[in-house]
Amino acid sequence: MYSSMQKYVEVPVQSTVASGTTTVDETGNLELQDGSATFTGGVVNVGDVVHDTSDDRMYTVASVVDANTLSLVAIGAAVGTGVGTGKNYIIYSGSVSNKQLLATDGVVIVENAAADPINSEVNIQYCGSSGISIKITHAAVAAGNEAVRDGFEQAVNDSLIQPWPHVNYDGWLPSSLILNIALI
Amino acid sequence: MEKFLNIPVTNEQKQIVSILDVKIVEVGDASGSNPTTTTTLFYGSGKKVTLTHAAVSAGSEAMRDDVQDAIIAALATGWTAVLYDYIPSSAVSGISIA
Repeated sequence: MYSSMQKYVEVPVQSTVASGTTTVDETGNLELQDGSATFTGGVVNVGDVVHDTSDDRMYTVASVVDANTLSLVAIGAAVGTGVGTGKNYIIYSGSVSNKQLLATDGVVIVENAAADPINSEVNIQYCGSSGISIKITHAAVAAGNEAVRDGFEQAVNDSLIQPWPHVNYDGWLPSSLILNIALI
Repeated sequence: MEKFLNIPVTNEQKQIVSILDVKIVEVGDASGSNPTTTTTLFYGSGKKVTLTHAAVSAGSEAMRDDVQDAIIAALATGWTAVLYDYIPSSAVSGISIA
């Protein structure tokens, strides 16, 4: 049991705006096409983040071509050239987020995931080797970039030096959009 | 410092749930399923407490936010206030631990 003054950082987690499976091979075209989707009407917007979860590649939306097609810009350490057919994808808003609390007490170490080819994952280990681990998935960044890790580490410091009764810290502005937080 | 949410549970009066060592609150049960009817508190030790509640709309994070707000409010109370009366925005019908 780890006991200390509990503190949390408020993490802005981007909202999911669409998900599905592609129906056309757009490899090499820097596009995503899903015949059953409706990307128009403000559903998907320029700057939203596309995660091809089948091939683990990320893109930002350059333009909404039509209801079924998005033009993309590749991002991350390993970059894709467009989304092939039959690939699962999730699209996250570039502008709308919700706050999720993440504990900053009991943190043992914060690390970029070593095996992540696109550099989009930061892992937080709590309470020693038997404690839980939480993964922050963020918009992919260049190889060697550890800005999200460094930012969270600073937020840990900043939250823990807040006096009681300040339990939550809302001062962290991540350098990359945070897409998901989940247990490992 | 021990703190508990004091939660009304349908047909069970009130049940207390510790918020000591809670690291994250997630939509869904311990495996991420049933996102509209369950919300789970994950502790640093690996224990999980799942609240089963009245359904929220698909994609809603309202109940998670509600629990998060209650944890913050409870931790901001003085040390003699051990139990924090939490009135959920969606009625809780069961509490389980794994």
